Amino acid sequence: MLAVFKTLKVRVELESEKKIKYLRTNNGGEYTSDKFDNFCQHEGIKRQFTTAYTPQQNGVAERINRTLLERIRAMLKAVGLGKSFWAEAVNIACYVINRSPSIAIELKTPMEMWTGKPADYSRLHIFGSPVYVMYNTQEVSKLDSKSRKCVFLGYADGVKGYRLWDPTTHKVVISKDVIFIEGKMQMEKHNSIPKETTTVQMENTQNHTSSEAAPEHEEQEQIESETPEVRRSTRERRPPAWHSEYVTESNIAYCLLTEDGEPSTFHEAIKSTDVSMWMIAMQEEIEALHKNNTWDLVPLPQGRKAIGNKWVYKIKRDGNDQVERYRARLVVKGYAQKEGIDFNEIFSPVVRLTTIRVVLAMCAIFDLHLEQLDVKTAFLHGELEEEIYMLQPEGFAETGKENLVCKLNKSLYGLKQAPRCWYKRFDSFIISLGYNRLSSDHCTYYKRFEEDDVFIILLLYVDDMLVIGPNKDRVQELKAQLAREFDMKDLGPANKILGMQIHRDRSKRKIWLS
Amino acid sequence: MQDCKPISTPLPVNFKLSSSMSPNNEAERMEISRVSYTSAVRSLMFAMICTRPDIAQAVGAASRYMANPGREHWNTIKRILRYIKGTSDVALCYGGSEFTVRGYVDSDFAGDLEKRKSTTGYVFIIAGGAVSWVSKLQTVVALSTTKVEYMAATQACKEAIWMKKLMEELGHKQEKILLYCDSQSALHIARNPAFHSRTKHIDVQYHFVCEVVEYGSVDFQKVNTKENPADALTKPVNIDKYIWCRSSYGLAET
Repeated sequence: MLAVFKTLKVRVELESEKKIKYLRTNNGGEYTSDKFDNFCQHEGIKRQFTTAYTPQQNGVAERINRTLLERIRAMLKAVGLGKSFWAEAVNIACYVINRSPSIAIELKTPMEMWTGKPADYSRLHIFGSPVYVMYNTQEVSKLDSKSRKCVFLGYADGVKGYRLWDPTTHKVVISKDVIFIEGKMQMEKHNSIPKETTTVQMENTQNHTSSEAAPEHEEQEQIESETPEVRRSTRERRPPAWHSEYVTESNIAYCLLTEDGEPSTFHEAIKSTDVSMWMIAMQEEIEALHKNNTWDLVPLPQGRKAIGNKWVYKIKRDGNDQVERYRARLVVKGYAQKEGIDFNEIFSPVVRLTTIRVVLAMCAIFDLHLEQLDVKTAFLHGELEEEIYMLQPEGFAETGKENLVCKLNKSLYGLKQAPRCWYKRFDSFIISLGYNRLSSDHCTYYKRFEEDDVFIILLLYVDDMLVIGPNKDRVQELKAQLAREFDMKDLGPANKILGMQIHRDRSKRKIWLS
Repeated sequence: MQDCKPISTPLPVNFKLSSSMSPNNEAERMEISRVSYTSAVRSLMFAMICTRPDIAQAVGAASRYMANPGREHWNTIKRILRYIKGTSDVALCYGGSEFTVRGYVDSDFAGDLEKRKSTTGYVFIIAGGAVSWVSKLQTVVALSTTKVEYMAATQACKEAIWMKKLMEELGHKQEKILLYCDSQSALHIARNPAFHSRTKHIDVQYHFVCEVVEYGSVDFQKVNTKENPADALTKPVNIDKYIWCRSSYGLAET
């Protein structure tokens, strides 16, 4: 232990250009020997021991130990490697922690704090993933296979190469010429579990590498033990809670890009494991758009620019967090639109919250029916006034017509004027039904039926609407009229609007809003 | 914040925030940058706009320091959150038999420590529940309490006229909207626009109130400060008054 500390001390002091002044450890025998004490005294390092049975006094070191342990347990379990690989797992866990952003240091990485240079992720790979290693030219003759399958264990110390476990020879090899096949890992996880070795792993490592695994682990402890001179390095090692998920998740590269397994681009979607589901979802969306006559394929007129588009993916979940369906939506990159060419007016009114509350108060007092409706894909109903050209959707360009572009007839999600188009479309429709738009709130419509002396009020908030009236039949009639024109979802008696819960007690003629 | 102790008012009486509490060195700024002050204010703002007139004043005060919040400001936010926790089951309750609008207006003279601007507060109540409320720093610096009240009354009148129109269009015409104000002097000027030298500086736009009152669409009435629920929208008040104001907004436990 003393020898390890000595090397570490020299390295730390050289790298940080600061001296170690304090060393905080527990009362383990390896720290309390006379030799160790003498060395520290000679170097002027003050010792700080914890009180017996009070490990919390050495909290920084103890905490990182737990973090590391939790990670290696998960990593070993996830890839099905035996316990004897613990030292390798510790090394790679430490490697990942040192390169993960941490809240405590403002989302910088420990590597960056220590060296001043941003961490390099080009060598980041998944622990335990299968990898093909090329044989040296001396090792094989012409007709032998050129590579063998190994398991990725970590990064070699001192040389630029990876540490790999060869399950057939039960040896660790270090090589640079490797091909990672991380993508297949999840599927193969269960059938390609390397057999647990009976030979002690440590001996193998010593034969093949310059560094020994066990001391390296202790080096971690040591670095943690220094205070306060190298305190920065100790704080860096605290990983943010969300990050531990990424490490245990077997496909790191994939997880860094998305949340909840939803791809963020078309490219990712066709590479993801759910590719078939996403393809079906996209197909559905394209069909719906065609049915709606959203665009015509035309050659791009001179002087005009076609706007790009992208796919947005969402997994719809029900109340129990179960996957309900995969949804893909084509959106236009509205930010590329130019004012005066692609859009003029984009203002779209929404109902005032005060109006909603006034109408709810009315509901309570006069005991009116209060129903909520939702327009599905509201923005796709809007008619465009401007000429807009869009590139063909990614992955769905019609064969033989690749150079044509889409001239939009209907509005699409992402267009700057989409909300306005929808509002105007709805406005003209509801007015054709004989409703009056209130001049005090342009999203409130009112109709009076003289013959049976009842009225209906309709409030519109983009694609949510509330219908209020004393006569149930009249409300139903309006709902049917709306359903004929648009794709509607009837939500029944309203219980939630714009994040406000509506709770009713009709017998007491009261409404609670919270 | 999940385990925090609930508290009965969002802000203590006579509590005022100022920019002197903002951090003036890098270390303090770093410390506060770790908490998401803006998103906390945004969440509170959403609750306030939807159903919580009772925290309007507190949120308004805290939101003025979004650009450069200090530790003291963050503590205020935490206090508001504690208050919310204690009252998370209250809801705006509408009921009764009367479908008429009543408005209350109040102001706080030079309550802002920075620029000595005043605060406008008004609330409109229908069927026992608040439907429209505002707690807002006035845009100009007022020189007298009368002027402050008068400017607040202007804002409230504008809203009153809108409400009157909305009610009319919804088929419930109301001849006059009652607007209660606790300032005798503002009432006098509104009712009798005598050209008094001390009110000359009141801008033309504020004579709007006179016109509205004369026209008859708004009926100004005097109310005692103790019975004015808009009080809590302009300054932190004591617990008894606060609870009374809250119940006048129609906020009741479900």
